[in-house]
Amino acid sequence: MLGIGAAHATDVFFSDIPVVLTASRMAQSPLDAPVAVTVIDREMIEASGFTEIHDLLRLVPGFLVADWAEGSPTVANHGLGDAYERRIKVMIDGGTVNSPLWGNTNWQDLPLRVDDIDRIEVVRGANGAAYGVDAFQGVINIITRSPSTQSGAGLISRVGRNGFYDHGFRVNGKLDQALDWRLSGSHRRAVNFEPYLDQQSPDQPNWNDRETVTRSVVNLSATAQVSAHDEIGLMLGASEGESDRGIPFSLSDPLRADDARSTFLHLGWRRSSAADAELSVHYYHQDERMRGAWLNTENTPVVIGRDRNSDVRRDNLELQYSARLSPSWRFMLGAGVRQESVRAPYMFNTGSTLRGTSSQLFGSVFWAPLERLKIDLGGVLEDHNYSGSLFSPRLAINYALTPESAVRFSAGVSYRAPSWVESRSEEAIYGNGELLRVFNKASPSVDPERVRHFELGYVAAFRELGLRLDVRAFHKSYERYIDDETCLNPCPPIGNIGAPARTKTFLFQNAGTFRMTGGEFSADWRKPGWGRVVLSQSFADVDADDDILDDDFTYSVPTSVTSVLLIKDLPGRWRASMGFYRHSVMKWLSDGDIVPEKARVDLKLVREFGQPGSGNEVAIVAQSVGGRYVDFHEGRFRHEPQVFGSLRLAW
Amino acid sequence: MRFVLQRRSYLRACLCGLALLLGFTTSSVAFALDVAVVVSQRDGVHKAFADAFMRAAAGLGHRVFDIGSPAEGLDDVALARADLVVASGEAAAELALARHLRPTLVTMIARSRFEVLRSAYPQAALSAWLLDQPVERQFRLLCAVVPERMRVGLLLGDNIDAEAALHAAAADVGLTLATRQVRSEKELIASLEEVLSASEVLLALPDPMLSSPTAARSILLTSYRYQKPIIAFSRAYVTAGALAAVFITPEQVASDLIDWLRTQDSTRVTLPPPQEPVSFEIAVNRQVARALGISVADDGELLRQTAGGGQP
Repeated sequence: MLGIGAAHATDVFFSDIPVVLTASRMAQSPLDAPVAVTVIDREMIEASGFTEIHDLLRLVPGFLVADWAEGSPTVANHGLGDAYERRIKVMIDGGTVNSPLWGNTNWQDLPLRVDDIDRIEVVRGANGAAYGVDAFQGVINIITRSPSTQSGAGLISRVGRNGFYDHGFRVNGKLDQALDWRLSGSHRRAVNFEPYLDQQSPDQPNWNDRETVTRSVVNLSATAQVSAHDEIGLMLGASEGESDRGIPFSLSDPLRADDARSTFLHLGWRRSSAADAELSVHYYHQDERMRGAWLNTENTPVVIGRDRNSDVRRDNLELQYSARLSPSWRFMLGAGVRQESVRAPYMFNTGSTLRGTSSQLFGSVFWAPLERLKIDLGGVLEDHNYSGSLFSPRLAINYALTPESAVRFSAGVSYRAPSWVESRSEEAIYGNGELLRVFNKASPSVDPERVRHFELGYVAAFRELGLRLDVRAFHKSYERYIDDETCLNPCPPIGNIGAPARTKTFLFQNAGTFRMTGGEFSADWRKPGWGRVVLSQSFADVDADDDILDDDFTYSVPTSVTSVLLIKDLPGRWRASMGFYRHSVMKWLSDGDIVPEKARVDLKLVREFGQPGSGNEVAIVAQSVGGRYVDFHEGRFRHEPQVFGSLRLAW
Repeated sequence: MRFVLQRRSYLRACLCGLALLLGFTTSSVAFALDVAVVVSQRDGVHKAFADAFMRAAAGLGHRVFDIGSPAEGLDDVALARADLVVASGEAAAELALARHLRPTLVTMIARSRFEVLRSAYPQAALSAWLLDQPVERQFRLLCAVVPERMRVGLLLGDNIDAEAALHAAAADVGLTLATRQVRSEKELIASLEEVLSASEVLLALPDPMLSSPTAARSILLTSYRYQKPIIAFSRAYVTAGALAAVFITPEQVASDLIDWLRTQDSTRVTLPPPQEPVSFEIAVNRQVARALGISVADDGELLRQTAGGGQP
């Protein structure tokens, strides 16, 4: 192992040092990136006051975040979102963590604490050519902090109103000099939704769902520099806890406690001989276990047993090689194989485990024929277990106007294969042994969604002003959009689906074509000693074709989404920050509904103490200071404002 | 990117050649120096130095002997007769000094190690061509690479005694230093974060503890987290992720030494005080510059400014 204590004094001038800052480790300069990328850095994470990962996505131009009481929060980009938004690929250190069942991300169950995140890199659009099938509306890569950059131990405790708490710890250590490790964990409880009494019809006031989430997370991360060029990494995370759900006084949806457990394992080996020459092998494993059952006694004597019991897992092995051929040519090649298995008897009407294996070949070539001109051509060929062969190509051209500004044109095709639910579901509901209805049902054949995307971007840094700009206009043309259309059996176009006649079913099927056009800009201004302002604004418009089965989804695209994060340095090591998040009226699809135009304002005041850079701080955070607000469904969900204090100590 | 400040004078070489031909024709060999070369290792940087030095020294007319290495042992007779011993590396110097105290020049050695050697052999005629670049040169490179960054972070290990001199050298070029001493690797991250919080660029000095592969790795990763560039002292550091470095190659050490040897009498040598490198090379990691959003001038301009050519 490397690093046996201090180096010999003379050797330090000539000995190898591990090639640490490789192209894959560093965030790509926006001037060179073939796609629009937003980086949420540690400073933004801290200043936002958010304690959950999904909330941080509010800082990304065009991104929409909502929570509901019956499941995980949901994140969408420019609309098309429902409770199980599955068009954004989400990764932890490059390993996909979308749930294989729906294809969505169970944000509350990610085995990772916000405090262990170094930064979040977000591709604000389709990028199937780099990330494969399902990188359809965006890619979120959550990058964890390397244990090599921490030492000692830390504690954080957040306590707020309505029984909210979030206590966390971290311990860092070294083994054999070359192995750095971190063990961290947290225990959290939050009342996301108190039961809400909808009194819109005074004769029949409706109680709505509650949700209280308790989660324990433990995460072990280790890296070993086994030679100057070889690094081995391990990350093992687990999350477990209960979600108290259900509706007070309801016979159909009584109060209950769901139990969720998830684990994530990442083993990686990386050989870097230079900053742009790297061979890496990664193995990722993810599994999720959900247990939640209740009895619907609304129509006694018929008793309906319902559950959300599921066990899913994904194993993914990936090999990648990148190198520079000459000063103007660079390439990357890779291959991967992925196996998914899902067992959810309630959803598939079978006790069997369904399995599928998919494989990928991917590559890209980067060519700079002129100093100012960069051309990036890439693609992924995927053999998907359900959708067959899919090829996602992309061409990007970056032209530097000045050393610190560039325009970008990119065009490509990306796919989204239907998830297990969209392609195989048959959610049969039985009462007293008889089939009463089929709730969700997949059509016999569901084709993958396809989007052709074009964008024109401009990025610039005005160093003297401390300002960075990122502007883009995009046009996307969607085909074979997958939607769950309501039908009464027999359901056109497939006919009798095996359920009793005239019973209602949500049928997953290809539902037509449409186009989306829009623009985004973000400005990041920073002045040392004063603070920082990060502003993002997006506009979008959707235009459905005649073949669309239901134009409901057009309302899911808000015309305008805004976020502002203001960070103000104050004397005496105080710092204040304000987050402003607003979107125009929109509709969350399926389980969701209309949400009026809303603005949310969060405030944070923090004071550091102890050694500079130690991380010791005391803070108070107020979320949604404007009061209670509607989320996800106007008639059903209200978020209460939150105020909490936090204390962080490090040794 | 080779840059030699003291260039070989063609005229001086001609005159030397003429003198050799006319003045010492009776026994030019008799008045040449016996130069014994000892290397710490037979490969790598010591071989590169020895090859370059022996070729050039022989070209000056001296008798140059390769008398061994720690692994092979020494030619004792040749060592005892040598007018000058050139030892490449600390191990080579220790081997030679333990046998005979001949006038010895140690090359390919860090200042801190030479000082240890000096105190172990106080009676020896001993000097060195050091690997440590003058810190003023590192500061000049820093100013050339990131001219707008005036607050420089610096971690000090055993070289804490040099703190006052470092502050003074920084002040001379308009920089201010944020320093912190690290007594053990356990303190590294906390000290580093403190220094990074108070600075715009980190200067890495060749301290043994702070330059071990694991320490360097932590420094590189943490500095990147803070989006602060590192100005370092070796090509390997730049390959690993530092923004830029100024350093000397083994061939340049040989060249510096040859330039000095040319000034010596052909019958005996007078050892100078320990010498800092005259020659230097620079390296820039432009990928890191790109990732950190830093525009760096071209190599020619950086060399000019690092050599003391001032602002453009």
